[in-house]
Amino acid sequence: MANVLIVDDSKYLRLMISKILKKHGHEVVAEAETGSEAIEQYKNFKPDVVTMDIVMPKMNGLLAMKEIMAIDPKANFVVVTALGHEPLVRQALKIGAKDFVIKPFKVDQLVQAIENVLL
Amino acid sequence: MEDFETEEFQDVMLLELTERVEELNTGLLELEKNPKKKSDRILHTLHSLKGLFSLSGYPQLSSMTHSMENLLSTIDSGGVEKVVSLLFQYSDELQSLANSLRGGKTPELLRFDQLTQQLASFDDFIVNLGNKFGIKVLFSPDCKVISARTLVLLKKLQKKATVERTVPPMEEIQAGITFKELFVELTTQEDEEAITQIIEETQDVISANISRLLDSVSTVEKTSVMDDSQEPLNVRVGLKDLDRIIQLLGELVISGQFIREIGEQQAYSRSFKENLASYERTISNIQDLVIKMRLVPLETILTRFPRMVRDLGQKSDKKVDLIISGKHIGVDRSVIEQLTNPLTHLLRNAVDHGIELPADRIKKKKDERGTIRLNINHERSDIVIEIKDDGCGLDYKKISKKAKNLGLIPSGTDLTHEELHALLFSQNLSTTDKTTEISGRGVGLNIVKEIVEEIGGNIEVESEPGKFTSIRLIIPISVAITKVLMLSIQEQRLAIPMANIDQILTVPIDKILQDSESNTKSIIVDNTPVPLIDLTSFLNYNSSSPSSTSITNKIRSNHITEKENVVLWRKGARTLGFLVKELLGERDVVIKPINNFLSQLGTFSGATILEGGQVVLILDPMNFLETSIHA
Repeated sequence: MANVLIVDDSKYLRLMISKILKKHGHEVVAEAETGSEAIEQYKNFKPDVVTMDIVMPKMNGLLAMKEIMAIDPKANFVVVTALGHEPLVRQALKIGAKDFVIKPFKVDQLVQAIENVLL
Repeated sequence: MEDFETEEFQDVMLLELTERVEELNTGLLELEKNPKKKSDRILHTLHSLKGLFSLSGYPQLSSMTHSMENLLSTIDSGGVEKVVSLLFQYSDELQSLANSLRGGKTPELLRFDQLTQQLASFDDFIVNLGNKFGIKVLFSPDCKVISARTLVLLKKLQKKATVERTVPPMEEIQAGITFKELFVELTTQEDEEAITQIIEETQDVISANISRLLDSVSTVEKTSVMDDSQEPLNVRVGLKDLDRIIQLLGELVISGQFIREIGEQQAYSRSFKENLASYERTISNIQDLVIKMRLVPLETILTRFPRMVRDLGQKSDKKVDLIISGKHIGVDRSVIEQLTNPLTHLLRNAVDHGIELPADRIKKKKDERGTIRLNINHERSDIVIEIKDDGCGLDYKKISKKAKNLGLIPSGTDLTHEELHALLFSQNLSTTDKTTEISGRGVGLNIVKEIVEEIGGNIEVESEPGKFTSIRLIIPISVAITKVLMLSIQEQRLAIPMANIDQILTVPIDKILQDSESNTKSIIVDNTPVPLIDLTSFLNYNSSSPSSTSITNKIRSNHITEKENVVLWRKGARTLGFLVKELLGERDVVIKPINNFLSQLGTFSGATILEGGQVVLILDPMNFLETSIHA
């Protein structure tokens, strides 16, 4: 079971992801609304997995991932993004994300992605 | 096994061996430039060599080649450089093996043993291969993000395995193309089940079909089978047979003409006429086809050059790249072999005299790597092979000085660049003071010229000191068939080869200038006087000594019309005009040699026979050019 940081600019989505993860036995240690917040929270909590939105105001998810990877090269990311952003997903995978889910996703898709990352 | 020792088998074996060595060199040069990219091509070549040796009675070479193949397929990128140099040695040994077989000598296999010993020193680089799997992965048709999904899958696989290759290739997946099916080839210490599990756990994967590959060889075999299926089947045919077919076709054409004549005498029926026409058409189609069959892509002789240029560059401490374009272009089979020597010579010259040492190039603000381009193009009915280096260009002062020292030109004369170019190719003139191992003393440019002219071509030179030298070989596509311009002069038919005909002008008679003193005619084209040869008077009154310089000028008045046709013939910077009464148009003819008496005149280069059996002489414009210079 993993400690998770949820990064998303939508409060609704953070809530949803949080509920799903908790239901499957994971712990949500923190949430972040922007890229820069995500970096701060990562430093504070050293989570096992980060669910990362890519398209966010101010600092986007890709930049945040890069900075976090610079702090902790072993950081685990699951990218959460909308359909149609496939080029961004491929970029994220190149930077170091280990899996992704496309919004709207099914519950088990998210759970499987988190578990995949933890393998 | 005895069957394999016959001469014919030996010939075929040698031919293949030579081809494979060239292939190997090409592959090695690529690998040397880009060591990370493992070359399937080299593996394929080694695999073919292995087969060749085992069939032709060299089991020890076969097993050694097998080791080479294994080594290359299992080596990590750190060892590639070492393997490349070993393989270059191996390729050299194969070359000398071929040479001694060709010379009928017993090949010396001792040095192969030394190579085998060297092979053993590569153990450190060998990676434990583990199992090799090929996996076909099928994604759900609903999946909209296949390439990203594939990247995730490959990431997971890379934790447990080395991914050797994917179809579609990695770059395309990363670029985001869509596809339905993925093929992955990987090596791993894991077993089949563990790998299958990883794949099936991946989202959007419908099924995974895994199969164990024996070793690298099995994949090579697979690709070679694929290659074969793409290429049409080929049969080797002797050149003599093709020549014979062309001759026989010529005879068929002539007998067709007789049939036509007999038919005409007997008021032949319409169906006879139609059938005869179709017969003639078919013959002409076969003629075209045979001509095409004689064409061989230049690639067959070019493959050896990148290796040669590399070696020459290394020997002289120069960095040189050879870029070849247009190698698919075909030339006549009988020409292609003859081109090897001139091209070798010119490339050597380019490396040796053209390209500067890296330090000098940097001083001149050039890239330290020199580039030689070998460009092949179609131009009219010719193939143009250009060898252009971005080196120091021709040193005209030096050439001129050298020529004066050698007494080739009187001191105090100034020659144009064009004239100096001609000197370069006509005399044993070298501007390099010391003899080098690479291109000797520059002896041989005259031989280059001889060979090129022998096959009906010519040479053009262009150079800008400090910047480049370009040498263009202009070669007719086919020597068997030549395009000629048919002329009629007082009902006598003649032909001029189309090669080098620049343009055909219709000139008002009053534009033709006549020099009453020397009895010569000329016209002004682009502000330059062009000497004219009046073929009518030339052939009427001067047939006994065409090489004499004066061209008598006795045009009978009834021949003077208001306008004349002038055929402009250009060679290098020189232009000649032929005054012609009547032009009959272009046609393809087979040129036949002419007998001693006629050929001694020098006026004609050959003859051709028309359908009706009529003999048409073919003018040699070169001869007129030479006479007109002295005039």
